[in-house]
Amino acid sequence: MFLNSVVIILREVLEASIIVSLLLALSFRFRVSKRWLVFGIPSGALTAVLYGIYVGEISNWWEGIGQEVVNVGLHGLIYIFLLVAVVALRKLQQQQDAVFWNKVASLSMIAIAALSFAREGGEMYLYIAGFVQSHQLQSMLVMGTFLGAAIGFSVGALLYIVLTQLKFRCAFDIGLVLLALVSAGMCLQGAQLLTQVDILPMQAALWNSDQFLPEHSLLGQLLYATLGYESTPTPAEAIIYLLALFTFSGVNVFYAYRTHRFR
Amino acid sequence: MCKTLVDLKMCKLLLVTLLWAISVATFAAKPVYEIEIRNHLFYPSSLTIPEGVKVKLMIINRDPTPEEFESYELNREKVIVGNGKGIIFIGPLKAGRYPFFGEFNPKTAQGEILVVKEDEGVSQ
Repeated sequence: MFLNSVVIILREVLEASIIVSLLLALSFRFRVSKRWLVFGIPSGALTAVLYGIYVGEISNWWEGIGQEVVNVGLHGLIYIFLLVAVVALRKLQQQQDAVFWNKVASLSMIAIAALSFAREGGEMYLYIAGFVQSHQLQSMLVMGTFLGAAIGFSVGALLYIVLTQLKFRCAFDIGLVLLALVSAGMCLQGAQLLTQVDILPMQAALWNSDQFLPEHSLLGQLLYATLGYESTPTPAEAIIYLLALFTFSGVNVFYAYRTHRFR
Repeated sequence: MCKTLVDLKMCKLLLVTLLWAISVATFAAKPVYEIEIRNHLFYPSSLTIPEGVKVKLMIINRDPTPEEFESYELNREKVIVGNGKGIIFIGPLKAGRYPFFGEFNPKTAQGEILVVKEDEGVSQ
């Protein structure tokens, strides 16, 4: 019970905290207002609770695929806002229209934070609410929840500290690479949801890396949560991952290149 | 410019038609297998399906609390609310054993999908 709670809560919190930490680290030099955290997280938590309450009905939409479709929608929106955030960050780096791009960065980060917390919080809410409802809320569950959340937040904080201690130029580039991997991982998770409800075809896996890094191992689970690690990807999933990665990197590099042209 | 606009519209139309066709084909008759969740246990805990066939799993949660059907081998993960149900497609799969579990109650909620070749006989 204790370990299970730790792992479940840790996975969910980690997924959101990595994205938020990366965005914080990338934006701290540009004095993007931190208000996006204050708005984003509570609204995300509220959405998570609403989702948890209505997930039963949502699951019945479109002949039983509603849950997956809504989740894929969340993933997709996060990805789009990440692209917007990258453009804003590059523009701020160029010191072009700082006031406008500061607002764009701030708004896109509010959206990303809210959507990330909504995505993760829904499952956490259901897990905890289930035990509350059945009066099985034990101290082990509560302790496990707190520990998992604490570890998740700590990893995010550690990432933030490491990135902000590096020379900014270096941290910026590393941060954007990590963000590219995270956003591609998000699209991969979306692709898996689509395979689950047969919108994407189920195909034989391209490879099986389970021997090197089993998906069910702790490291495998954490890598799945943060970077979308998948030991048996289908061709469709691999294509979507690569497309997402190239699109993100392309936007990143395109606006970086324009930086140098203007300098 | 106009030519690319038309192409874009055609592309979108084709994409929508394709998605619709896929979903129609999806909900065309696929064998449906039911798995129930009762008292944090799966019934049946071992389900046999034929090799190389796409099947629709209907997970029915008879408990009042939610459960998350999860399987690393099958790459499936879905929350089923209390007194609710959910569908998951699996397969076509090669012969073998594919365990699954209930993430919210992993100690008790455990099961497996056994995929067998046609001539070995299939029972539900």
